[in-house]
Amino acid sequence: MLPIDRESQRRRLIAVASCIIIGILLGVWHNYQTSRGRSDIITNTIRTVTTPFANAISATGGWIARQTGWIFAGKGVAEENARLKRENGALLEQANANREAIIANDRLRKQLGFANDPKQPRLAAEVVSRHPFPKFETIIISRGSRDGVDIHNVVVSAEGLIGQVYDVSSTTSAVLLITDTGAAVGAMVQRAESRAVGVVKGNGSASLNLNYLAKDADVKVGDEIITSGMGGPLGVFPKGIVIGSISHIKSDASGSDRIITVKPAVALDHLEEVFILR
Amino acid sequence: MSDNQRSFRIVGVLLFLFLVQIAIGPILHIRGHYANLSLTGLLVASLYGGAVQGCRLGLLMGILEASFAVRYVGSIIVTRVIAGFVIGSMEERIFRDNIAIACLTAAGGTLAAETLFFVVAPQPAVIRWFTGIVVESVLNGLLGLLVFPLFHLALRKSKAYS
Repeated sequence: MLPIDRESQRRRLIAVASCIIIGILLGVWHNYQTSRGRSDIITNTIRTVTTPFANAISATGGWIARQTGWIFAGKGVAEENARLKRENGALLEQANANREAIIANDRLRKQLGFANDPKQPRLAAEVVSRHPFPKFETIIISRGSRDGVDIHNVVVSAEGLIGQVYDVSSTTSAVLLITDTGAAVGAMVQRAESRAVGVVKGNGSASLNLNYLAKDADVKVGDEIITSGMGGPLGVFPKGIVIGSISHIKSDASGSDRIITVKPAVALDHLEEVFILR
Repeated sequence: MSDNQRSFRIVGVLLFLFLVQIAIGPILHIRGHYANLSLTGLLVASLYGGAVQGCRLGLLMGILEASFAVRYVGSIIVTRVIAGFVIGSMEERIFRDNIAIACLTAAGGTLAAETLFFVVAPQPAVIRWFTGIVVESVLNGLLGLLVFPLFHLALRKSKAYS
């Protein structure tokens, strides 16, 4: 083992102490800025500068995957095509029925004197990075403050709820996915006979937990869960966005409560495009 | 090759690994537990840099990672600085030009760095968190097989002259 002289040891300690102090100061600065609803200039600049390069690498990887994908997909593509055609037929039929229901709903709301829900404007965005920091369930999207995105904007896809914007730079935004342990959404069972209200929380895995339901709440496996429109820690999610469906119900260890697992409607690991509700 | 050129090359490789992590990081996972190419790069690079450079590289990678995590910014930076410092301090004590050492450093360093992160920023879902750390350590250890030759290649000339 080589001896380390005092001077060298002192230099090392100064280096590590100063780097730690810089880290702490940056953390405090970031928290101060976000508590005031702003993005700090350092993270903002780094995301703005590095995103185009990451996009270029991602696009190159995607192009290679598309050019070579057929080699591995083979017969599976034809089977998937047939399945998608069958699903498309069923969805067209469902869309027709939905159109009829919307017309009837509008007519009845008018007769009862209810105001119609105004459509929220949507802004399309591309997913720049999924899980940029592997420990958190987050994504980075290609729209920022210069596109009018704000903290707490809700992010959805055609299939349902994705999450909520929690940090905005000029050209990108960070979205906290509903599967993150820090996410919670006011939720309700869509089935007309139930309409039980609870809170869907992320647990860091691919599934969600439905908590705070009434003890006698009527819930079944397969029930669709939608946003209830009631408050959450970061603000309110509009009512009626699909969150997912109940996949498991089991009793907890004490037997006095139920553990309800919800499978998200959106395949969060394969996101490419999203919509921001403003 | 001067020390500056050497540092420049190390930083270049680290920036490349960080961009790859951002772009295609989600591919590198087992059952929802992800590898961390940036952290693997930092740990292997610190083996080549020494304690002081390890700190600086930790600060750089910490700031980069924190810019995309945008949560626990201070905790991420501090854990990366300490990880860089500790691994860098080992530089004079262990034989670094060995791929097995690099893989073990990446695995062990990840375990230590992420446990330290948990200590400074406790997380809910503790069991899942620690399962994730173990899987990440194994994956990062395997990534060492790719990352080590990259640094070896980038610093090839310096080895010949040093």
